[in-house]
Amino acid sequence: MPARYWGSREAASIRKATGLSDPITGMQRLADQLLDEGGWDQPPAPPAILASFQGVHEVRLATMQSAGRLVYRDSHLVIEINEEHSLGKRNFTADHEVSHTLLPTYAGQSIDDLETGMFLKGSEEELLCDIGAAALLLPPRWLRPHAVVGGPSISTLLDVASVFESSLEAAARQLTHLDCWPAAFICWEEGFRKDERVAKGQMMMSGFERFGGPRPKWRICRAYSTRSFHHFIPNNKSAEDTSLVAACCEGDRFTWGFEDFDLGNGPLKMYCENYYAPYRKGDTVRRRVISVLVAVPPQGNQPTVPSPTQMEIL
Amino acid sequence: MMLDNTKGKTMALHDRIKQRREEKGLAAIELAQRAEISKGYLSEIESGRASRPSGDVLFRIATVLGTTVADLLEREVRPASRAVHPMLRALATEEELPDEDVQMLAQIRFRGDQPETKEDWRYLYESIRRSIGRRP
Repeated sequence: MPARYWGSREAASIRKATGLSDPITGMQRLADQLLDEGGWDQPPAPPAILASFQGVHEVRLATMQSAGRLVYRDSHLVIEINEEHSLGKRNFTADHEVSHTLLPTYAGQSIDDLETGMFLKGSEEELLCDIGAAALLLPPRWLRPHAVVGGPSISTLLDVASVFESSLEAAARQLTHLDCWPAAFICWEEGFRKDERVAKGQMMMSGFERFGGPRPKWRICRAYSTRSFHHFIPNNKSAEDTSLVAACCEGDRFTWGFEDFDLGNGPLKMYCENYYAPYRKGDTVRRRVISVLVAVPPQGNQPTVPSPTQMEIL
Repeated sequence: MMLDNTKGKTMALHDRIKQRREEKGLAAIELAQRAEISKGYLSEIESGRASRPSGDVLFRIATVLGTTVADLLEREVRPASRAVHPMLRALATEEELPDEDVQMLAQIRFRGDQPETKEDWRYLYESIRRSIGRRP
């Protein structure tokens, strides 16, 4: 795969400061150095303490629209975090703000981050700070033993999110980056095909009302796969209404077994575990299923049925 | 930024903690209690006999002293703030500009260039202030 082109001052400054040609690896190195400074040997590394090492006086909760910001209050640099967000999201955002201060180009300016954790390729600085946040919150050296011992499963995902005080998807992303096993975590949400989406308020054609409009199906909206999981996961691909993915929204919220997944090249039988994990964003509760897909199921009998977790607010 | 804790240090950690404590008018026993460490341990820290405290302990001490761990360690955490144009720095000194405003101006570049005279920096700063002031 060709290397990504980096054009920003931030990326260039990381290369210069660390001597590494890849700014992502450089950012991770800067995060590791900060963790070393703190002397922790197990998670979690408290964001407030990391921030203090970077000259930030306080990490505080605030009523705000944005996810987080670096601002001056009474001439002191502080990090403010959206008080409504879940602990995992708040921790990631705080570490994202800390990562801004790790950049060699940071000169004490105020920063307002409407969103964090999007890993958007359009803004190199924000992408690098998301990578820094993931490295501070879920450091590979502490994460790897959990991944190796737990294996690819929903239980491992929930355990990691709990121990590291992160969100489920942040944990999924970092687990797959380790590439300890060939697997993928898939987030399904209800949605429509592109050609099914109708404008709000659009009327049905006269005489066709009895057919109703298109129904939403469970569709892939985000996927995190390890490098050794050699299957492309197409975005917006749907799961059947009779599938284990759809079934886990009823009753026990957890299903597992072998299932045929059509990832674009015909049906592929894979072992999956599916966990119903809705979340709230703003005023809307969004239904979400998180699946782990592996070609070969883990050894042993049936998987550990996870206990229900609190709804995330992201 | 690369973490270099040796460059430009003027005071050892233990001296800095003691200095900050005395500046705040805190007795050692009070700092120890509020930082939830023993007085004996604080005494070892301030005399330089203890190895470097953990991040958690440093944070608690810094919080009681109303400062940051970076300050106690004399860590340079804003290297880019050094890169302020001399004419901007002269204006900042003359007009006693807030540090945040100076850092904001220092980041501005137009096609890679910055103002060269103090008057041009003054013009830029006033323009920004006026344009912000016009917002509803």
